[in-house]
Amino acid sequence: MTRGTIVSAVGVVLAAVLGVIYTVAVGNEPLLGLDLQGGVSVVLEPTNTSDEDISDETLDLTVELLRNRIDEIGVAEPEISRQGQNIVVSLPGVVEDQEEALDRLQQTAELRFRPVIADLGPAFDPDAITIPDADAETDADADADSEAGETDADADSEAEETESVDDSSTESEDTEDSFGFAGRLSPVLPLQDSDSETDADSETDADSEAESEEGDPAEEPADGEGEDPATDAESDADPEGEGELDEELSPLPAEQGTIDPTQLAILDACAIPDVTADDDDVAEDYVVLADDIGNRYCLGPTLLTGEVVETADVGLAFAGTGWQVNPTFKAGDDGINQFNDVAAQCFNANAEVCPSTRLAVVLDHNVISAPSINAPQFARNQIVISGDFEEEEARRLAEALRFGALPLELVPQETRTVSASIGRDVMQSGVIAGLIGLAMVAIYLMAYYRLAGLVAIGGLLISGALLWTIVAWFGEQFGLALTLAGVVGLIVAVGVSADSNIVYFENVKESYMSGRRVPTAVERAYQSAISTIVKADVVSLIAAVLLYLLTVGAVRGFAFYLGLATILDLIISWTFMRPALLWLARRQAVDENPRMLGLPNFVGNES
Amino acid sequence: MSLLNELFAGQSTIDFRPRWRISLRVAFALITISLLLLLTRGLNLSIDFQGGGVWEVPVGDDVTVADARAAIPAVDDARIQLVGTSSGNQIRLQAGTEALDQSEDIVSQMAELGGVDRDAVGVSEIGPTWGDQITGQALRALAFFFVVVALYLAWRLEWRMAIGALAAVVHDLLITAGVYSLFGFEVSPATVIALLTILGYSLYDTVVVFDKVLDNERSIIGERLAIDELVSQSMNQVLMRSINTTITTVLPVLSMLLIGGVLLGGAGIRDFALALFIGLLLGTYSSIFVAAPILVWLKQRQPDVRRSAELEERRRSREKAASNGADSDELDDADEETSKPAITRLDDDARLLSPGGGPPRPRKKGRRR
Repeated sequence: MTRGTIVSAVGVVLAAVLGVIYTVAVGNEPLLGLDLQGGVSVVLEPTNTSDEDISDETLDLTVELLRNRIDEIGVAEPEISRQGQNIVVSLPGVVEDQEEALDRLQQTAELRFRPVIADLGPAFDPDAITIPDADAETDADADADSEAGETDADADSEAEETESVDDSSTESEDTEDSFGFAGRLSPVLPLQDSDSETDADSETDADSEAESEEGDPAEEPADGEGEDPATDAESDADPEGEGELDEELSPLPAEQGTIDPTQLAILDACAIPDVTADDDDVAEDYVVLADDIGNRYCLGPTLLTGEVVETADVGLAFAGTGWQVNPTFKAGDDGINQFNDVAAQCFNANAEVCPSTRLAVVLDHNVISAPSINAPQFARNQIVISGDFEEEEARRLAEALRFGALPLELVPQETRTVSASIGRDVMQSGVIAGLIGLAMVAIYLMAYYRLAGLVAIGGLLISGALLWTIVAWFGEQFGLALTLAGVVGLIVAVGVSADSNIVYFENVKESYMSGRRVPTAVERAYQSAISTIVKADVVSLIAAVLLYLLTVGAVRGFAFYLGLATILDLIISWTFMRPALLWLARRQAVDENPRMLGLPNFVGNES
Repeated sequence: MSLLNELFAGQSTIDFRPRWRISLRVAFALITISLLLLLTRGLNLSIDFQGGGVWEVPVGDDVTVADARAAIPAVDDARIQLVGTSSGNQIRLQAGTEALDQSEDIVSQMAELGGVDRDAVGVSEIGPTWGDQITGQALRALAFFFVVVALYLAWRLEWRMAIGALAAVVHDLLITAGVYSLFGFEVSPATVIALLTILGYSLYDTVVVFDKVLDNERSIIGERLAIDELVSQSMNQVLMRSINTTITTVLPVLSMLLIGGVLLGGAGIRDFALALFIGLLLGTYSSIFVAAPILVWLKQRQPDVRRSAELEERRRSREKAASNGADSDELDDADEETSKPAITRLDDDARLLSPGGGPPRPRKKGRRR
């Protein structure tokens, strides 16, 4: 036994012990899959109108969008992953209002061009807020306000909630003290709900409070509900019955009564009337949305959707610095003409449509970019969006534009809801079965191989400790959950690990039977044993890798843990098995009585 | 020595050759029957492969399947079962894709039946095309797996062994599937995982067995024995190993089958463990009784030219050396072997002469301490 083998054996034991200490100290725990703790999982298959394959980048973008949506739903530790062309979303634990959550996930993300009414700056901290481009906007707002004779009509709230469609834009009274707050944020169109939620979350305490108070998960957009009475009281309801784009502006929806006066000023500047979207998935609401870095914009109703875009590219800016994006619009009335209509209005800073000359590109309620329009007319492939972009920013914008051109529909293929109690049952049976199985293996190994069985059990313990560490770490770091299939993979791996030890012990026995002393036999048998073990383990690894790459769902989880455990088996076979057995074999007692290692008495061996 | 003792000492002398003739016929018959069953009866595929839904709700002890059927009028042709688990009974309703539209109704009705919240109802819904997709993926993965493993085994062992090993795996998988078809057990994704595991174990076992054959083949013993004798002897050497590895793998599975499945009622675990249990036993059996005879058959039909030449070469040089009275180590050993009559001794010597072990010199035994 060389110094190297001792070091490696001590090393692996130490690693296992440290791993467990680390895991306990940091408080890592394996993240249980939803089949073990209850929850919802859904496999979504993205499809689009063309038959082309969906590109990787589009899928990645979709995953990102889904992640944002889930963050808004507020589910802890979601797992969203691409598996081939499919996207698997797992929401472990008890999810409040599962149906709503699932609906939300399946919405088609639409790229929207919305006019920027006001740039609200980075946060809603009243002190920090500035209203940029103030003149134009304020003017516009003022105009609108003054013109507005009426407040928003959220009044008939209950009705609206269900049939938000004809919710009207109503004109708001524009006095500072009468905020025609349209508390109503559309309950019908979930995208908008999330918009409003976003608002609420980060912007107005009032809103978020309202939300939490609502407590009715099923109607999560229910902001409106809580606010309605107040709104009723204060506003003259005058539903116009249609949400046209040229509506008058009225103040931002907010919870009535709890509003902070400083916020009110800003809300007033933003002046959002309460316009509800209708069912056709066009966002006709005034909304407040944020971009990546938390900058918030008050945005008008959608003027265009991504369908007008044909494609988009990035390039280094021709003049100036940084990168730029070159969108190409579709020809004719399907594309560039529509865009030019909008561009003309924005260029002229039409107070009612596009007061700030800026047109925001919004994807799934994230503002990707909000460039200003510098010309009234564009040729469809001669457009540049520039702005000192970093390459990544530019790519992201181009990606969003391309995505908008071919929006993905997410078709649920497999939906599973496991109640927490069933999950617990399964977990319990799995753990009990696993432990008893392990105990039986240990007893058998001890009975058959005597002390050598201890080496096998030691190997299993090390393997178990390392697995626990790794699984817990993966759970914390990557949200990778341990599913029932994974548990099964681990149990299978226990068997494989025991096999490796048996292969070695039997080789030792053979070597011993051919007349060697025990320690020599232990040393000599290792080479051929490890060669066999490696061959067999590599076959297991091939299986694990291929299954992991080529399948979806449960089989994949199984493959992952099988592969992981097989690698650990290789490591332990290399480092621990031989030194440990050799150490035993060198004990005086064992040398005198080879039966202690499960070896038969063999007359040919001189003692 | 009793057979058990012999096995324990790795010194059994079972002649596998006559048994192989029988086992190959049995394997052939079983595979044929399995194929017939699969073609005629097919498999009882779970909704995961066909599309549809499964709804589960915990219920009180007094609820019967008839109650459940009355309480859930939403679907006509649903399969309703009462499943016992550690925490009480469950009603399990399974229906085809047409029931998916009524999922909400079903959930409400089941929640009412069990007197629980809607959240306590477990739901699985699978779209109609999804099953085809995952089946397709699994088959594709399997095809890739066979190719890659065949290449790997051909490289590390030899191509005849690759064929033998894969034949044994196909044997195991087909017969397990045949058992499922015969008894109408439900094939779920868990079963598929089990089948894949079987495949892994079966190969592990066969690799261990074939590695031994290879070892012996390269050693001095390989020169004198006909290939069928050599393989038969190798089987004796690995028999106990195979039995032990099987026992240690079957024990956890048995525990899952009995405790996880029967006592605690985890349907997923039971499906899995049953397939595994059948497959594991088959896997061990097939390594020795299917893979090995196929290897022998392949080798007899198409002898390894290179190896024969090598052996011939070694034989010739030995003769030459013997006539020259040369006394190289290897030749010494070889001569000594030839004089030994007992098969068990030969085995041991084979071990001694294996490349890994290096050739200890028997006559130096006294000095080796």
